[in-house]
Amino acid sequence: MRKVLALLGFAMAFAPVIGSAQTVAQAVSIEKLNLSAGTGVLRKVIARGDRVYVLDAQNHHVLVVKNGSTVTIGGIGNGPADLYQPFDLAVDSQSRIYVQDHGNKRISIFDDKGTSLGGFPDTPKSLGLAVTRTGEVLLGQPQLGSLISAYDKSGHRIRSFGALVRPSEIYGPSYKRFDANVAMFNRVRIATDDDGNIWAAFAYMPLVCKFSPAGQLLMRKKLEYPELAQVIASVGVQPPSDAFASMNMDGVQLTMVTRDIEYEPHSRRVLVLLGNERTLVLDNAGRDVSGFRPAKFVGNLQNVWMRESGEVLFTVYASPAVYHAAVIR
Amino acid sequence: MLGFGVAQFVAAHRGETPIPQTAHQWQVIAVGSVEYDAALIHTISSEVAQRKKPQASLGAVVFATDTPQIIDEYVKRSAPRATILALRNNVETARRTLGVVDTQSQLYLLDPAGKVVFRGGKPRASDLKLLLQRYLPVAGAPQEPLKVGDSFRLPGVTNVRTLTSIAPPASPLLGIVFTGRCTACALETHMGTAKAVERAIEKRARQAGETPALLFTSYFNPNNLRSRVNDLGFHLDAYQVTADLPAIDDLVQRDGLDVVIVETNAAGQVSRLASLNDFLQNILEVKE
Repeated sequence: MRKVLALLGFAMAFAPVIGSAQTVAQAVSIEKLNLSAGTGVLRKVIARGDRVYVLDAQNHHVLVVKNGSTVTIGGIGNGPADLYQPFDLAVDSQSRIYVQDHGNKRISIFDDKGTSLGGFPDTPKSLGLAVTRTGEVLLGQPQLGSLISAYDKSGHRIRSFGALVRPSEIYGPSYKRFDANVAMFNRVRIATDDDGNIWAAFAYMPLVCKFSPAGQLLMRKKLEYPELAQVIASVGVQPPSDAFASMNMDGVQLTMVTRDIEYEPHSRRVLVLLGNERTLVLDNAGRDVSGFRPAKFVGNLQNVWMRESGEVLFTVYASPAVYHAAVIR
Repeated sequence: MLGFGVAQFVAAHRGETPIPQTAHQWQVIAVGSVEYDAALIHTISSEVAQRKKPQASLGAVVFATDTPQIIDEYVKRSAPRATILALRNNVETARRTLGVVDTQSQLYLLDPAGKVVFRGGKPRASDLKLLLQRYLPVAGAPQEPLKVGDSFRLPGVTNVRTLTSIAPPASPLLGIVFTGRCTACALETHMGTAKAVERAIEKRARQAGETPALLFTSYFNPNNLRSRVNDLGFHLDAYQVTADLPAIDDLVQRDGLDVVIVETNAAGQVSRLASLNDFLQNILEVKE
């Protein structure tokens, strides 16, 4: 483990490297949120104003909850307005809903009433979905040779950007065996900020990047938190430790170093959910501002979202509940 | 259109029958393992049974990816209402009629005209129920998921370690119920998690005056279960339920839970019901 940690001091070219200030993670009390909506196993929660969007993978639909009333979008099936095993969710400024419809191998787009607005094939299979202010759909598709690809709503690829990072650069020579399958280690979650910048958190490496709206690398941040060492040490180990959540995207089960990244527009902060239940709060330059973690274990967190009020929403692996917490910013 | 009813398939074991003619009947077709997709195959059976009257409206065929010996054992043990065929003996026909090119689990729903109305990979039992609720609903009130206050009687159990029939665990009970929603997940992950917190489970049960026990639904292969329980070195008593637990199945359908914690009072009524996450929340501190 010591060797792995030592090798984390890798050199980054072409962009400033931001160090990791050791902020104390605030322990927050997490409670179930009563949404007044029936739910199955949830995968993601997003809040916009008075609306809460919930991705229910168990029932293959998205619930839009507003003032106690619920609109259901999707439902099991192969038709244009159906979903099957949905995996990720994004909402744009026009309240259009974008779903990575994993089982139907497509990106599906809906209006806020649930009417299908079309979509396009999710090929090759993506991890990481976001929408820019200009309406581009961003997908993490390292199989195409870059971290992220941008599509229009018809599915035409506009551009790809972000250089892939070899696992051995991060983890050292013992990970050279994974270098031939570099795409597998370059799975990212994506968020966009109010300036149009694009943030990417690497699922399997301790790394966060920020790109300009044009796709130019602006910042790379190493995640060197001591408590993350155990998570990092189990990446690529077979089988992964039961202690941390893992995911199989490309045929290999790997521990997740980061699980989510989101932008909170009111405080202009970026939230990065780490593989050990801690959430980093970063400023626009990627510097640590604060952090928080659950005071008690509620299961492996998989998604974090902060509302204007500072209330934080979570989903938990295999749980049918949305959890929330009050966080002092 | 598949014209599936006239397809010719090869019987792999003595329990197999030819594919029935399927005119005027919906048809569920699954590709999967009788061991690891047992919950799905069991659900197919029960959905077929529910649609027997006034006339059979649903047929089912499962292309099992297992060896003939494992398929034979499963058919003897479970008496499924679906026709179970060995995929290995029907590769070409399955490829030609369904486009099956590998052993990944698949689910198809065909309407009475033979048109595929749904096709999906890695299906769960709850997916089939949702599909049939949409396309071929049955009349009558649906079964209620298990809830606090319900009686929790186990119809019959075997000792996982000896594979022999024994008396069910006594109430008050603290049951760690492995639902079989994903048997592979339970064997590979959730049982390990339960083992890691076994002492905490025993302590909790002691404090509450409850009998702690591991409970497994009938969807698990008993031999695999015995090996895993022994490998992990559990101290807790381990039971496999030999009949259906529909109220648990419906809980799984609603909440998608792989493991459910069921606590009962002395009268055998459910006093507390929790997901594994919620249970762990009460007995563990956050990892940091």
